[in-house]
Amino acid sequence: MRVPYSWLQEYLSEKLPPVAQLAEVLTRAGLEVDTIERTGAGLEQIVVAEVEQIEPHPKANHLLVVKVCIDGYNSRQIVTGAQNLQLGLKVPLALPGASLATGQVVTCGRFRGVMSSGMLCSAQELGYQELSGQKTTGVLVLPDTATLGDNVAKVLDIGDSVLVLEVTPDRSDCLSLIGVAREIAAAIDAKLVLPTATISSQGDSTSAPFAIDIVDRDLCPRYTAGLIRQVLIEPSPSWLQQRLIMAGMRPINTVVDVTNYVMLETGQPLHAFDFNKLVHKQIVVRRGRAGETLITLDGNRHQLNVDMLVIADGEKPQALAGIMGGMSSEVTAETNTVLLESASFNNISVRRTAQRLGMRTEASLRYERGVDPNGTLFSLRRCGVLLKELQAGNLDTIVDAYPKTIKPKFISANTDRIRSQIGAAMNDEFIKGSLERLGLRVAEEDYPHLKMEAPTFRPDLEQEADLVEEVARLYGFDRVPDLPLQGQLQIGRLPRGLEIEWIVKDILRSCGLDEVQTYSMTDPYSLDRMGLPAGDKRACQLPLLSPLTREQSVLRTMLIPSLLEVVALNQRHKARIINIFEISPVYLPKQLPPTELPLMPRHLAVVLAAMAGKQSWQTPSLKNDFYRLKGIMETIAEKLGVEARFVTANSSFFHPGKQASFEVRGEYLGGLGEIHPDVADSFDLTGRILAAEIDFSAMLPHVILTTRYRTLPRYPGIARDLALIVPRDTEAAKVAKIIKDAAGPYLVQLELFDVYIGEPIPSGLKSLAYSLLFRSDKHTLTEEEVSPYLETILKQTAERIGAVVRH
Amino acid sequence: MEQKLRVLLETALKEITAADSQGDLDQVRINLLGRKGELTKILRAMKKIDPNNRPRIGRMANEVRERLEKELTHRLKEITEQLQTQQLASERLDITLPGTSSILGHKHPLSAVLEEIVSIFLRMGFDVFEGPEVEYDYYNFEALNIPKHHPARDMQDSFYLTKDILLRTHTSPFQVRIMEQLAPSLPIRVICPGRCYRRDPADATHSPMFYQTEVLVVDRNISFANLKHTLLAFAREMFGPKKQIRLRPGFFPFTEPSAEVDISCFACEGTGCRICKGTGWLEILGSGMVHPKVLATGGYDPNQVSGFAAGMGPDRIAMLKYGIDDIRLFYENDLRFLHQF
Repeated sequence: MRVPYSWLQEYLSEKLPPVAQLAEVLTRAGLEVDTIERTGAGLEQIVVAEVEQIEPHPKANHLLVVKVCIDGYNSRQIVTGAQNLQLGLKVPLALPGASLATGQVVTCGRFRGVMSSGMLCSAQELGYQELSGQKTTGVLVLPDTATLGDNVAKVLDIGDSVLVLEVTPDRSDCLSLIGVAREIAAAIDAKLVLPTATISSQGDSTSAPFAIDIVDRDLCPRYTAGLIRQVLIEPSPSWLQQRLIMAGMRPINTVVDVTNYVMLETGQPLHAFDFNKLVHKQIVVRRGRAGETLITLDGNRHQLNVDMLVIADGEKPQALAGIMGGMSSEVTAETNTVLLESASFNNISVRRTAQRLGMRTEASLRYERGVDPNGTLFSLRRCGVLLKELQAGNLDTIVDAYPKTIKPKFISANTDRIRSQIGAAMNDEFIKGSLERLGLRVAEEDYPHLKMEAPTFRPDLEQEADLVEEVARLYGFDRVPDLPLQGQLQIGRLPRGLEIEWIVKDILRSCGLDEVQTYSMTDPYSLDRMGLPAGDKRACQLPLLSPLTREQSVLRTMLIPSLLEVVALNQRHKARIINIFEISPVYLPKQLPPTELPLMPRHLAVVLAAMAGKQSWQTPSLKNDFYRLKGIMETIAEKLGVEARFVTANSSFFHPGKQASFEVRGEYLGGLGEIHPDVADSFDLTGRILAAEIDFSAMLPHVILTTRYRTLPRYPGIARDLALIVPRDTEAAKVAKIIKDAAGPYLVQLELFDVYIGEPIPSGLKSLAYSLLFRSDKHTLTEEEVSPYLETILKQTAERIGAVVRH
Repeated sequence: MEQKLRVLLETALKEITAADSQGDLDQVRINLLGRKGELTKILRAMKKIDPNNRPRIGRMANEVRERLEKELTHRLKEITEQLQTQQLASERLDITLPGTSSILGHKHPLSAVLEEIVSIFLRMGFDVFEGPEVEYDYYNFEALNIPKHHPARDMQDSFYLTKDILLRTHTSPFQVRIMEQLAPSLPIRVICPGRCYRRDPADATHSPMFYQTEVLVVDRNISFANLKHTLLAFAREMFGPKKQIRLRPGFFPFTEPSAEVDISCFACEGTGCRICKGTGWLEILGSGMVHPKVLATGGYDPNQVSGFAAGMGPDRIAMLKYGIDDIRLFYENDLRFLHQF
């Protein structure tokens, strides 16, 4: 809502505070001022300048040649007659082209042979004298704090301004100047001044030359219309045009401009029909019919249907109710009689129709939010007054169809509860007075009981809580004290899942991985790029009904594709180390289309994509391979006390020989591996990429965060190294298991410290080197106690996997 | 004999002083005190000496041996010290070479801000809950006093999956969910962080996905003054102890009264600058007293209890806090961006 400052003043008994202060008042009252536009007509080209040099004019005694500066760098030469100049003074400089309050237009020119490019102005020339009341002679001296080059209108706060308000959807009444003025009046304790809306001559409605028939009363509570005769269609006077332009509307002609002017004033949209173009002199408010069409004033043809309310003339639709008039009854230069509509339509119906047709007009905006049905007559008469003033027409007969009067609502309140809800001490008088200032009437008064009647232009006021807000607003939110919550001490609790998530994020960051956050919406084709086989349940993705783009049209069922895209982006930016993770939900529908909420487990995904090459003079290149990824997953499992098992797997998007599934107590939680080269290609990735994704939520029940201390060893242990040559395809886990099973009660540590393939080991074989530590917590072990177990290990590994000791 | 010992001592002392490495010194020791050393020889010849002189000469020989051993030890220490000094002097590093870096991952700025918000409320005794991102229209709108065709829905163009299910447009549906879960117990002091979605094409200030954190307090006698105190305490903990907040009337269908909350600008401390558009204030959250209808829907009697709610955007807070001018950076995950946090 655009509110011109000078126009607003007309509706208030007191002088408005300066614009900046008014903006503060409005903002604190709940009408947020988005911007303040200055429209200092003619003053735009008058700027702040500083006097740098003063010299006498070589040929004229009463003139001076001065140099001024408006930007801190360049000087301008000005010839002036002013006698009050001093070096360093800040003064208003009118640049060539500026028009002054005196009507003079400033030009470049020579004065007695000396060039002058602009003019230094007095208060009178700026039109500031009246405003400030100060009578000064000579050039107006500006405050020292004024910024060079700034608009003088801004510095002096003169000229007109437009306050651009953000009106919240509940305050339909503030989509009008009167509504805004009412708020200000309440806030600054002024009186609201309503404009004249009384018409002397008025025809008899019983013998009216037209009739109104409201067919669908639920969609049109009231339809008021008047006939304007002796219409004169011509451009409006400039004051009216100026106001419309400032309020953001385009002037058209007297009749249309007056209807718009009154709409801005009162919030009531009005529509003018050319009376002679109405086929039957009858207004029928009814639903549209299938097959009917209407060409609206913007030239568009619309197919109508029964959900749309139209204004018909007894034969065909002439307007889309509350949205836009029709071309066939448009007011033109030839119009001499106008039927002026001032009606109330159902807000939901207007909203639906406007949305369906993709139309948003000043009228529909107001109807969608709600227009006071009890204000139609006032606005219609107000149009009559203005048209008469402009000698552009005479309001004649008024017909008012108002089948069921809409009465103000009564709201019961308890002033004690109002005080306790706000938490501030205020007396009953203040509460009552605040509400009265906003246009409510006292119906009953028996404190703490208070019953108020809310005017119909405030449909947002329904119950006590609404009155609490009104009182708090007028009391001032800033005056409300701040009081701490009271009650018993409580420990704040974090959900276990989030607590564990924070721990895991810490672990992953310690592993050198960066956390990413990617969109939950994804491209349905990203799963094709993953090469998922047909029938994979992850291909069952929830589609959005109206996505913004195809790339964000379904809800993802896995995280890896999003992370691969992050890798692709960073590879394009030549990043060398791209090791990332994300913990976010995936969305697994129970059925399509969904009838209930999907499963939304949180997943953890890790992607490693470091390029080969040294990072710095000293750090060796980070080697990313399957085992680094596995190590990260093992670290997480270990820190969370989860017994994870890595099992051979066959996901299509991993390298067939370099992948595993991640299982906990036999439950499959996800997989890890090297991304299949075809998948890497389809995501435009280079180098070896490793990825893991597990169902984080499903892991949570297995997590054990409690730690128990174990006594430190008291007796020395016996360490032995053992290198076994085994067939190359023997799984290390199997070897380790045989060793552990055979090692007896004293083995406390088994570490694989080397895997070797190559000379002198014969081909087809490999060497696995282990270090074993035996220890007892009861006594110092002897050689004799350990060696039988070593024998068993050698025997068992030899028998079961053909292992030979490497010497 | 005595003469011999005296000469030996004199010569030996010279040799000890002349030795300048551990090897030389060892050689000197062997020559004197070794199995075939000169002093050893003299000592062995002792039995040939006249028994009358034997004790005197024997004492003298022992004194010489002790003296030599002492001198040898002393010289060895000197040589070792000298050697260490030389070695330390030669081992000079270029301390201007960069240090060996430990590669640590970076926290996403949104996570950093979220965790900070969550931990502040935890410290204030609030419980943390999470709600579903895919939500029923009922909880997202209807239960929050936003019926179909309510003008407030204008502000929220949503991603629907069916006519009844959508991606939540805010964390506020959590208000009714948690009240349903906890009713009739009091007090409720909870927060709910999470992702939200609106059908806004991505630009510098809009993202179709963003974060919110909902704050809800329900108890007997909760007042607007309590809301003000709690949010002020939060703001000072989050942004600094000298921060001020300003409450302005606003509109949310599910709170009444509603208040937009501004915080004094980080950049100019309230004097007005480019970041706060000259106002000295930055809008950081929306809040209000829980609407009686919402309390009733959640299973509480609005005549008995009252409450306040607030919703804040970690994205916006992170942008203000770090001076980020484009919200899309959060979800693009350019490492050059992430590595700054």
